[in-house]
Amino acid sequence: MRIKVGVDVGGTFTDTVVSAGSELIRAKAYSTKDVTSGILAVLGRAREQLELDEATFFGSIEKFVLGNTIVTNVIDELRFPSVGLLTTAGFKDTLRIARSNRGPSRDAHANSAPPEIVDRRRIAEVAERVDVEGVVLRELDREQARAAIAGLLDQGVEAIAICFLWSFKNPANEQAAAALVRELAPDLPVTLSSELAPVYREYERMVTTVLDAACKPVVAEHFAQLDAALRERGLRSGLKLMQVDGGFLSVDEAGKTPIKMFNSGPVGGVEGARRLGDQLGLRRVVTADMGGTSFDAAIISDGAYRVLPRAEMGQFPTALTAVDISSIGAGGGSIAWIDSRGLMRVGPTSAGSVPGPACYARGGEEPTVTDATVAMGLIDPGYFLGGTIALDRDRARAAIERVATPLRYDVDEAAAGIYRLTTVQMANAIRALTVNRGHDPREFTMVSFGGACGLFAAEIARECDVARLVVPAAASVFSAFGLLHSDSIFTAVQTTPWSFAQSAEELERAFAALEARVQEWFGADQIAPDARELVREADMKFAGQVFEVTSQLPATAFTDDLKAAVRERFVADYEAEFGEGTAWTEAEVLVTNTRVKGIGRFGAGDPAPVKLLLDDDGGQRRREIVEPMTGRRREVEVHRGLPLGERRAGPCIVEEPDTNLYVPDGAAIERDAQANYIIDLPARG
Amino acid sequence: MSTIDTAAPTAPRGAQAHDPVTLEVIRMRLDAIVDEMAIAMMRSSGSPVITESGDFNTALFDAEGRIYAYSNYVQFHIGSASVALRGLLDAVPLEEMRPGDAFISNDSHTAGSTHPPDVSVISPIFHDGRVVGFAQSQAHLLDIGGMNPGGFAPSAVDCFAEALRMPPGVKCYDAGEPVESVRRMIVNNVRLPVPFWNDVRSLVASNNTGARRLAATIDEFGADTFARYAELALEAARQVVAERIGRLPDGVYEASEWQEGDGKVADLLEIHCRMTVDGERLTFDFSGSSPQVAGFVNCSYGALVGSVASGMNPVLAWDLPFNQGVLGPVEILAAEASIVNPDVPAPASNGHLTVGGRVTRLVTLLLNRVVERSDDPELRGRAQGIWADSWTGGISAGTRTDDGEYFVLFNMDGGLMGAGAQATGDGLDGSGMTTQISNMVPDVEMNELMYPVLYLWKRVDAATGGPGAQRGGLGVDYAWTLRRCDEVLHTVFCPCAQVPAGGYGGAYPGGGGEQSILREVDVDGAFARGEAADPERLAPRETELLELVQQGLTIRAGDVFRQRIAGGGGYGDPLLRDPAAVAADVRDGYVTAAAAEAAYGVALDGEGAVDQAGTERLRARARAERLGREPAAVAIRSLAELRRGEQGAGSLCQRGGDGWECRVCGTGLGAGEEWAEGAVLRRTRAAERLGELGVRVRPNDAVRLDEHLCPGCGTALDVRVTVERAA
Repeated sequence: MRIKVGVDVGGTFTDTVVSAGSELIRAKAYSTKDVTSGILAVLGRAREQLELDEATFFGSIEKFVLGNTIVTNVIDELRFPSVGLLTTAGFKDTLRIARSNRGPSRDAHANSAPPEIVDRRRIAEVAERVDVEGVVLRELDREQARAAIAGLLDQGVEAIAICFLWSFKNPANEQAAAALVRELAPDLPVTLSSELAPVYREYERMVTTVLDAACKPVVAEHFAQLDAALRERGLRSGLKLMQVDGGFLSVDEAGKTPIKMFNSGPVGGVEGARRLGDQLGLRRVVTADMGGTSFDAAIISDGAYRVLPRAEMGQFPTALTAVDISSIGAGGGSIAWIDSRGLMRVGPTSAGSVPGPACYARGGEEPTVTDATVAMGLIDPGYFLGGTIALDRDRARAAIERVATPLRYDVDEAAAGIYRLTTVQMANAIRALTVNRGHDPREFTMVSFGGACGLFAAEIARECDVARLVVPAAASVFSAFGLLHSDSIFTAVQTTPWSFAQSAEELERAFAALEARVQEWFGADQIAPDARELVREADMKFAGQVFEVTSQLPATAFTDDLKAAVRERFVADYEAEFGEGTAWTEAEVLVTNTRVKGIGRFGAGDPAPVKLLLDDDGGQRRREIVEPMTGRRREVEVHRGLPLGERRAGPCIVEEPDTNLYVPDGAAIERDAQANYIIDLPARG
Repeated sequence: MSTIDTAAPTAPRGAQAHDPVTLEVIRMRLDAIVDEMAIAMMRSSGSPVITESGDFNTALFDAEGRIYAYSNYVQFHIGSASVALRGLLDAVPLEEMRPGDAFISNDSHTAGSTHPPDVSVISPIFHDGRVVGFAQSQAHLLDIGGMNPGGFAPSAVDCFAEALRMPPGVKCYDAGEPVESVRRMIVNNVRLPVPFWNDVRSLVASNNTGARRLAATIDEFGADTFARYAELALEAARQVVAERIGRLPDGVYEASEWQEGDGKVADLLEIHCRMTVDGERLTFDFSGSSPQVAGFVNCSYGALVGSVASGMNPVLAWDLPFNQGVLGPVEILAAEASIVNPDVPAPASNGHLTVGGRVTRLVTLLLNRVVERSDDPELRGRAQGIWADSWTGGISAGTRTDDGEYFVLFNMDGGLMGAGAQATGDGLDGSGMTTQISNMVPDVEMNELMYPVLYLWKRVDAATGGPGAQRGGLGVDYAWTLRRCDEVLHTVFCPCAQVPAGGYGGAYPGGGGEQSILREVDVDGAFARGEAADPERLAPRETELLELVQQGLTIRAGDVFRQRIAGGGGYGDPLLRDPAAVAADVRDGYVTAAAAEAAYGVALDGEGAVDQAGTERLRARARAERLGREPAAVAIRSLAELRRGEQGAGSLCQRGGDGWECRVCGTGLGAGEEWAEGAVLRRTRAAERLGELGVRVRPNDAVRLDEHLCPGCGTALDVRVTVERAA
């Protein structure tokens, strides 16, 4: 048997989807601090379902892709080993000035300096300078640099980041500094900005470089342990790690740039939605993923998600290219409160996993979104996660009481109010994604996943005029599903200012150099020759603009006769982004960054059907709920799963051990042959 | 006078007939719409001023011209957009407007524009064939014609020389189509016609997004319900601000700020404000301010209103979604033909960044004086150090030698001034003006890529943070030299050099700005020596300290242009600052070791750690020096004790049974109306005294520093920057 494994390590749960022969198995376990034991536990559960012994199971794995929150947590919590930073003399304050990190708040108490990611004592300026053309105005002062590095080592730094101005145009000085670090501390992790993110904008590049260096010691420790544990149990194929740009890399390759593992779990979910959209023939998909503290949404258009340069990570802008996922701070743990106007707001403060929502009975007393759904009867307190965790509805209602009283609401109305405000916030976030890119939301199908999303997705979709909703069979472990089916991607990028007045040859030289790097990677990560694919891209803009739009170029050598076609393609991409007639047709087109993506195709073939978890005893269940958008009590049918091909009219609730769906009045739910739930929504008004 | 409402917040008052969740849903929708407008504009615009610096605004108005929602970008236009809209309503009857129409304006006098390059486009929003509101978008465009590239015209004597002036009611789009005759007229008058019209398209696209979404929202809720709830949203915000004003003691508070010349004459020009708190009403009366002047610093009425709102929001409306209701309880008065409400033909191309900034500072100062007397600790916590609130300009125009292209560098780095210290902590470094929510400046590599300049350094400036228990935010010090360009024609303005931003509660002012040209530096040699980043070692032939406003300067290859930007005022007497925090500041380079001793009274040992005994000696000496004698009081309360569980120490004076007393040592300050009557006044020249404390201020003998000191312990109870009026 050939086995493929996707594992997503989240904050609370570690999920897996395992494809074995013609079956897809899913399992969930609690995440553990050491990561490894949680992964072993969840694989144990999958193995039990397959009834295989350990040696056979691990020995049969031919693809193992991991998404994880290790890097995400390091960056969100800013807890990492101490890093030393070498900068160009005169520019020690780049991280402090932070392009004026004022933020959008009118509250001066909320305008604070950006969190320090390097202790000021560990930032050392060295005499060196390269200019905009890559001309070295000052060679690195080696003696000064040696002393600076020694000073950093004396302070006990566990990694060193090097970020000089224009280093990506000429990396000589950064490389000379790195050589000195290696001489003085051969085993110390080092990150060079010119290698990690060779693109212009020094603040973003410096943040990225520092965070990458900071992640290196953490990541090295985790993956060495995990790799050993998996090999011990018989895993022969290499462990692969998902990256923020949507493809995976080998442990070796990923370890060189650990920052790119940021957000790899959610990226897995978007990749899963892309696969599912392909399979269902959907042209435009918007994903909706609601977790405990955040709501993530992304757009997939014509089979591709958008990959955005200058991605944000936590509270920082970076120089990385990442799958464009919009995130707002609203989730199951978001707390409802009364503001100075006497009106109710929801979030962004969250009860987190400790103490968690009041209904978890772990000390939480504030009313959360999850409490609202329990209070409204949308979740059966005895059947949460198939009955494995008992919820306390009385505590949920008592918590809601806190906001109900000042609003002169009863608990039902207040809970419905929390539900409605949550739904509207999420719908606004989705609208910002679709409408602003010139798309009509009615063209989209929403793919909803994540444990908490099913109770909200239909109303969110209705709120933003999306007519159809798909809740995938593997919704509760959907990131793992996406990881399982993902491809390997290696991206090489370089800032290469070029205008169409210049010769094609100059641009071709840049592409050729990038391609050579990709070819090297094909070899190193042993991508099979027939699975290899090269994609050429350029970030372009009209002269005078700041933001670039990315266009694909033909995969062949770039010659002068291709110029016209490339320019046309850019104008088309630009207008697809900003609307017809918005192109600055009078202005010159400029290339800023060139990029070559190497893709190793791994995910061929349609996903196997997901194993059904049906628990319907055939008996009719009915339950009284508070109807979310009206706040009225109403008895609805409750289905424990739904057989393939069946259709039910709303209002109803569909429950599975790991999924809860609410289908509003007027909508209908159907289960397709692949076990996905399809919900059709009536138009509003 | 109102009393404090200690009850828990209750449902919107007098509001039984409506649903609070629907009210919030509609509010969120309106805020989402102005955000969507902003994104639509940013992503389609090419102007770095918009995309890199967030210098724009988007808003929705009702049919009467009241603001429904306003995005979190520059706050000036709360005023300028309102004036523009009212002007439009006067100029064009509603029945003549059609869906898809858009009106363009930029005139400071008739359309309230902050300055001529700030171009506003307003589009009527229709529902059921009727105008139900307006979408408004405004952005700082790169050029608007007139005598100077970029629209700042120091030498203009009237508004006609400054720019093309578009009054309210100029229709640039008619039923969705550009009005060709108007387009031709406009683009013929600007230096960068193609980018100009592209940006107009972006503004129109932003409005179209707003109009479409508002109409859909009205459809969804029904016109009557929407109108009722939109009204309630204004009322909910108005009520919060009114109640907060009600918690301030009634009274009249007066103060002045000073504009440092107008670019033609160097006189300090007075901006006066008489603020009246009367129950739940707040009036800012600016009559008594200087008459309008011949230089470019006159502040349009629109910019005045925006500057007042910018200063008021963080104190009375920090947590409210902004709409017209916030300004409901507020009245703003200004005499006609004055520097804060000029008439034609007064030039006004820099009024908002100069006089406008001073207005915000004045509002901050006056609100400090009243919130500290409130019984509400939350409002007391809103007192703050004054922000630098002045924008330092360096504009260079020239031709590149590599490709022969003409360029205009309007350097957004000028927005890196320091914020005032807060009750909650030190002021933000390089914050931008109070009004500049979401302020951004470009990367060094961005500027070097777009313009032929090479930066030598860009760092925070320790001579600018106002000393305080909480330190004022630092301004930034940067320098560049030309590369691939032989010379540029250069214009500078530096609005805050002599009259710095004051501190609060016994803290000292921040430092002023300064610009200079270091002539004929051997830049390559400096790089070779490894000294290119050290301003002391560049060995120029001469250093030219620039006037506060100067144009027609030439900077040549080999010269170095240096700009140092003003910092924010502190919060609380610096002698109360935690010595460990001072040691950390010295280590981090935010305070010099000399200033640690002189301003903070903190002695450090050889390792840079606090020398406790030495610090006690220094602090005792500083108190004695301030008073000119040994202080009588020995028991000094610590900052933690003075905070009384609140965020900041607040005012260091309190009124007890026997009159005023110093909270630091308990010494009585008399039973007079004001505690200052019982304090010791030490009056010095500001530049000299602040220089001793390590704070750079440009000398002007008329500018004084009044330290009001406790006679018992020498604690600075309040430090004010004052100006001696010419006889």
